[in-house]
Formats: sequence, C-alpha cells, structure tokens
Amino acid sequence: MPQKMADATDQQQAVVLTPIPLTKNQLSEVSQIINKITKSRFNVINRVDKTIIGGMHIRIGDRIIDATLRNKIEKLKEKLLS
Amino acid sequence: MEINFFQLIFQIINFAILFVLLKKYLYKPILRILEQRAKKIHEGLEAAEKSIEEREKLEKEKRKILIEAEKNANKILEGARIRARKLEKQRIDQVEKELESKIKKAEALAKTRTQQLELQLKRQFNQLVISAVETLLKDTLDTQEQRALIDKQIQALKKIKAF
Repeated sequence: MPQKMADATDQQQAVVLTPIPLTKNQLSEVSQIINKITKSRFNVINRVDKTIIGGMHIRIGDRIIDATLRNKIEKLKEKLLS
Repeated sequence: MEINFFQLIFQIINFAILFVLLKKYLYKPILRILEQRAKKIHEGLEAAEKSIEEREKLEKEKRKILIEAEKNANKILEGARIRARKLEKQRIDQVEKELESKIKKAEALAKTRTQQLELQLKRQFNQLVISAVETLLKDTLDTQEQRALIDKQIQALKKIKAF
C-alpha cells in the first residue's frame, strides 16, 4: 500500500497494517523493535486491513516489512503457477 | 508247198524299207515327243517337289518368326508387368510413408495438446487450491489466532538487527 512520507519537521511515521487492531502491548513492542532496527524514533500507527488476511505489514518510510499471510499466499501462488 | 523266194525277198525288202521309214519318220519323232513329255512331266514333278519344299521351308520360317515374335511380346509384357508392379510398390511405399509422417505429426500434436491441457488443469487446480486456502484463512482465523500470529511475527521481528 503506497504511503506518503511523513513531514520532516514531525516525528517520522511508520504504519503497521494488521487484520485486527494491535493490543497496547503489541503496539508498544512493535514500536520498540522499529526504533531499535532503524536507530531512530518513529511514530507507529496501527491500521486495520482485513485484506492482508493475517500477520503484519510494516511500512517505515519507503521500506517495507511484509509478513502478511497475503504475501505468503502470493508467493505460493507464483511458485505453483509458474 | 513252194516258197516264192522272189516274193519273200520282196516282202523282206518291203518290210525293211517300211521299218526304216517308220523308224525315221514315225518312231523317232514319237519317241522324241514321248521323251520330251516325260521330261516335262519329270521337270514338273521336280518343280512341284521343290515348290512343296520351298513352302515347307517358308512355313517353318513363318513358325519360327511367330514363335520369336511371341517370345518378344511376352518379354515386353513381362517387362511392363514388372515395371507396373514396381511403380505400384513405390506408390504404396510413398503413401505409407506419408501416412506414417501424418500419424507422427498428429501424435506429436496430441502429445503437445495433452501436455498443455495438463499444465492448464494443474494451474487451474492450483489456483482453486490457493483461492480455497485464502477463503479458508479469511473465514476461519479468529481473533485469538490472529493475535497469536501477530505475536509470532513480533518475535521474528525481534531477531532483525538492522534495517
């Protein structure tokens, strides 16, 4: 899902897509992980997207971590249909 | 009885003169004619025999020529038959080769089609399986399972050192 970059003056934004809303603990854990791996501070926003079926889709700027079931199924589809 | 010698001599002379005259003017010509006739007949017979011989010779020659001609005709016919059979065999062989080639092409085409169909079916089947899995996952994963999955992802993210 294409996302516009966060304004430079504001804290950078990371968007986490999940099929159900994250719990507070989960959101906190994800934020910590993102900050750790980027060595930056990010404002993590959680959005619900049922189309991903399961797992998480994280967008940090122009970088993506796609750990969704949808992605796994797509890869399986590519392999089987090739 | 008295023999009249004068008459006797006269008769003998008469007879002799008659004999000579007959011999000269009758017997010799008649004999000549008879001889000539005999000769002619003989020549005629000879000619007839020769003619018969000649005819027989010609007949033999004719038969020989006929036999030769028949032989040649048979040879020609046999040659024509052999050529015809050869041509027929060549034609049959050619047709058989063409048929074989067509059959092979058809078999290859059928094989290709079958493979294409198999591939198509496989793809369709895989597509159906994937769609079924998608639908199943969408409909069956409850909230608890979703949270468990998210937790698992979070644990995996923790292993990433840098990005």
